Amino acid sequence: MQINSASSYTPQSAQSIGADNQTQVNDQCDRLVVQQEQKKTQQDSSPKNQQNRLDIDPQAIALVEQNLKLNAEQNTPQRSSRQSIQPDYDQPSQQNKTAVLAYQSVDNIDQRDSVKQAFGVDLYA
Amino acid sequence: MQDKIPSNSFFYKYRFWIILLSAALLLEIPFLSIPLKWFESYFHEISHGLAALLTGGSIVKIQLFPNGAGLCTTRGGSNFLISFFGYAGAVFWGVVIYWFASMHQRLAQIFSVIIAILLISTIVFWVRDLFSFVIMAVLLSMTLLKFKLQNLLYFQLSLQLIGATILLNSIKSPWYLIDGRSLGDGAALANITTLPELVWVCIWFALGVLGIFFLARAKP
Repeated sequence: MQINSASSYTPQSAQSIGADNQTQVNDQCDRLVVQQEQKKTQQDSSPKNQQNRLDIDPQAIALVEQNLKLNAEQNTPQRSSRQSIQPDYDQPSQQNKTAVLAYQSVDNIDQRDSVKQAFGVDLYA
Repeated sequence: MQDKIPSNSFFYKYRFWIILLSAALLLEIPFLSIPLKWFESYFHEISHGLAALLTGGSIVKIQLFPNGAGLCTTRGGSNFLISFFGYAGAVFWGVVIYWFASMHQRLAQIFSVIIAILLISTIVFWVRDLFSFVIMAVLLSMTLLKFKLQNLLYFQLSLQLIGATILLNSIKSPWYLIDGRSLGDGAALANITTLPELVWVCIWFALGVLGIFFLARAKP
């Protein structure tokens, strides 16, 4: 009895690990199957549509896309936490840093000019 | 150790080139070279300032940065001379420091006191930020610590070495202006005179080389 209960427990636990997302996906898969069956019956009933064997339901695609977006959003915080742990992967190269500094120096020239004009002084580096 | 180098020794004969080579090697040592670069940067900026004072202007403030850069803010005076005397002044200071240090050991001490007075005056009148204050304090300490040396020969050699590093840095640093950004003294002079920045860099470089040949031939 204990062994049976244990063996029956495993798939339950697997489902519980999948949480709500997996049940949503299963529901969507069921819906897709039902819709496909409905389509098949419609195709059988209408001989005009027999040539177009591949039918795409925009609603189903929308649902799948929505689900993918949800999954992506749920995964985003995990990725950012990984980035915060290992920041070296995202460090800009020295060449890029130099480029940014060169870009910022242009701003500094403007700042210098404004200081010169405002206070009537000259700056020599 | 003796207070004077024997005049028939190898070091005495080639002392200028040995000191210059030692200075060049010192400037390649990562951390040790930093205060020596600050010296050159200081004499560059104070030369801008002194040129402003001599041409009727005034110094507003002098800033030194840990990476060896510097900034002199002036009001009035001749823009041309103030811009020109940054690098030219550093060459001048390098030659004069080496020259006075080599002439006589007592003269080396007197000239060190003059440098210390100049550094103190700069701190009091023209330094307005913490970074510059710390850098200036390091330079002043280096100047004053030499007086702790009992042997005047070491004192003389250390001042000669500082003079040589200033001279070498003042020859090298104008080339950093050739970076395609039209910034700094070369670009300022190019705007005033319409002569390209490269011409001014070459003039400063030539002045530095002339300074080296002058000291090598004069053998004070």
